[in-house]
Amino acid sequence: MNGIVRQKLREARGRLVGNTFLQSSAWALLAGLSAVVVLRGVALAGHREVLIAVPWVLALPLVAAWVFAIFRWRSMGEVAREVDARMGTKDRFSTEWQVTEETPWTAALHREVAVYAETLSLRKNLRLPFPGRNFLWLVIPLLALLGLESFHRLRVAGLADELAGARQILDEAQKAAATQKENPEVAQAAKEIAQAIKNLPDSNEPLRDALRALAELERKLSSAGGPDALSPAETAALAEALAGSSPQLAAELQSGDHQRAAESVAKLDSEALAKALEQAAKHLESRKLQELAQNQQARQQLGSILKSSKGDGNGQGRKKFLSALRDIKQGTGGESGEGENSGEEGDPNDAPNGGEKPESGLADNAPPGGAPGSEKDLGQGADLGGGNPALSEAGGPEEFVAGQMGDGASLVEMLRAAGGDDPAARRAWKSAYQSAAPAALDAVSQEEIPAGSRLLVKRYFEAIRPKD
Amino acid sequence: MSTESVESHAAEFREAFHSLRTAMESFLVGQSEIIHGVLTAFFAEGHALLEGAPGLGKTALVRTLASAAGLDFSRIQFTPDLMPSDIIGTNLIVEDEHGRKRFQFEPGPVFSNILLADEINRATPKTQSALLEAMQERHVTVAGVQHTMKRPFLVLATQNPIEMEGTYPLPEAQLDRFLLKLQVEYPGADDLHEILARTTGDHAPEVGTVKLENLTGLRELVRSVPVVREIEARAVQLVLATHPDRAESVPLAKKYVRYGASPRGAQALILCAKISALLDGRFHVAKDDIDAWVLPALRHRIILNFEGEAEGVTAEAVLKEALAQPR
Repeated sequence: MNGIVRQKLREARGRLVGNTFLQSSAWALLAGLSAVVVLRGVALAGHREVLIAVPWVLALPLVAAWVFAIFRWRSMGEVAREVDARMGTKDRFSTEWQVTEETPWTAALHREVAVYAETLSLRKNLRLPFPGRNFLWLVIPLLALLGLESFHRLRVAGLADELAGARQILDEAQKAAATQKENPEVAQAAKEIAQAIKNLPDSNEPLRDALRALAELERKLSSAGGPDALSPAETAALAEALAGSSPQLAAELQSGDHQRAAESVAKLDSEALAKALEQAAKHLESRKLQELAQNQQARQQLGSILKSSKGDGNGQGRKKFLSALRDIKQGTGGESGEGENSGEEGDPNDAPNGGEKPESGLADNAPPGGAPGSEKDLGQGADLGGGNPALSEAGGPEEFVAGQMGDGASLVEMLRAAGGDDPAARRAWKSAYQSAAPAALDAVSQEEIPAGSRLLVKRYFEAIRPKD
Repeated sequence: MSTESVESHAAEFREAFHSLRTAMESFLVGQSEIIHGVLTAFFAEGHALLEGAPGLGKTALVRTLASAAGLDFSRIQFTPDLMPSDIIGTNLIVEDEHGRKRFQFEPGPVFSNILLADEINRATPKTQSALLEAMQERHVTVAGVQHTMKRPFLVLATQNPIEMEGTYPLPEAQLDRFLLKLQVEYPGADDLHEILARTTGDHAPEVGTVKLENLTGLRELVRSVPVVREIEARAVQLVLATHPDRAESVPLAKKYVRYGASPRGAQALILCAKISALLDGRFHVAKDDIDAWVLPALRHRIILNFEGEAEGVTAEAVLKEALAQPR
């Protein structure tokens, strides 16, 4: 084969590869964008981490299209045939490619094809066409993506108030962390809060997620004191119980000087310690303190617990931060729990039932029905004051006082059926709902009650809403 | 033969072809496609069947070719009572100078370079078949004696598609002997004006004679044009597409064709394509060259079945469908 013919075929091959790539890249991009739409949908459903795959799902189909284009034109014979078919070269290149024997006729053929090829402009005749029609298909995933984004924006706009509330809670937590930034655990917690703030715009339930993040932080920080360590609440309750019999030990416990407290515990009378433990256990309904109180070796065991716990300055910082978190979560540390943005569910680590209580300090505050602010909060806990100093300093046991029915306005109406197909019942139910639900929701949003309880009421009314 | 020799021979061929064409076109008006077909058949050593209404210049075309090429020309007007001996000749009893009588072969009009078989479908099949041996074998046998035809020998037969009464359709075997079947179309208005100007005035144009010194060499040159297998495959594909019982056949052929084109059809395609390639200045055959000759080379080799005839399907329709196949 003549050199110039070979050169032209090589040039044609490059153009054909480019052409095929352009054509197939439309389909590749279509596949990639469709995958991006799916990934975006998954991300909006809460799995934001899948977005890391976006560059890959776009790049991989394009690479595959390029590989396909090269594979398609791997044979120079195919290129020659395509050039003949597209450029009307009267099968010169494919004949030239196939002729192998050397005769005067083939020599004349080579010469004629070479002269022809020399004057042939591939750039002019084998132009890379823009595959416009194929690219029109890309409009579909782009529209889908646009639709998803619009939906997301609308939803974010709808959640603006809730988002603001959630951001406020986390900002409060971040501020609280900033005051204890010398504590490495709190500094780490501050980073996690910053991450939670960053994730808020993509959240479907920002307030709930914010509270969940805080609850998770509380859990981590509470468990950071050691598996057997006394929680801050237990320590405080014990210090309070010991205030009468051993003021020095109480002061050491309150100041967080656990090493000295351990030494003081060793010197303390076993009976006095058991009594104090019993009182603190009763106060907090703490199983750990109860067990300690019933233990013959309580003095030694408490000493070792205090020795092993981090009762230094760091522990103090963590304790303060934990206390601040609890306040924020219960709506007393800032404005987060007020207004209409208080539809949060509460701590996901709440005790699932009223019997068992977890060992962490946070959980120790949880009433039998669940932690404050949770859906299971029945308002029977020891921490009804929500950290109110006046309440916590009040002496004597706290009692559960049942509310009196009929003190406020009430609506009682007997309906034949709440649902079903009976139109009369449906109408009656709708009417009753429309008069009762707004009043109830107004009441829970104005009253100082745990945010989770607001959500509970809100969800209840959503659940019984009549069908349209 | 060297490369330069091939190139000079090809140039000589183009020159001869164009000269003949120019000479014929100087006399005939509006028949350039038919002239091209007849000349192609001439250089391919084939025969051509011209089909067209009376008065379209078929006879003039053949006469002009003979005149332009400086070859012998004879004409046979086919009639129902025409006998084979009227075409190929017969043995006559002649008396020599010694008074002895003997048989002497008196050659018929077939012994010429160019034979015009005018209205060939008016003769009986027996007479039509008298041409078979001459057309294919280039010789005739009379009383056991073989008589070789003149070279070149070209039969140009005409037939009238309008008048079917008193005609005998050509047998398939004879139709297959024709390299091309050319359809002479009615001239356009401009051409008609030109015909009138040339034929009704006092000055009739004369046909110039082209000297064909190396006609045999030029014909051999045509046959030596190389065809690669992939290009040849196009001719095979087209021919097989007309066969109803073949997997390669097109739907119309499957439904309406009784017999497809014979191998002579493929030979005709390749030969004509070779001439087209040479005329285009190429030394190889292209698929376009083959496609261009499908209708004239194959249309008379396809026999439609009863359904095809009843539905009015034509061989051209089948061939156009075959041409539409991917190459």
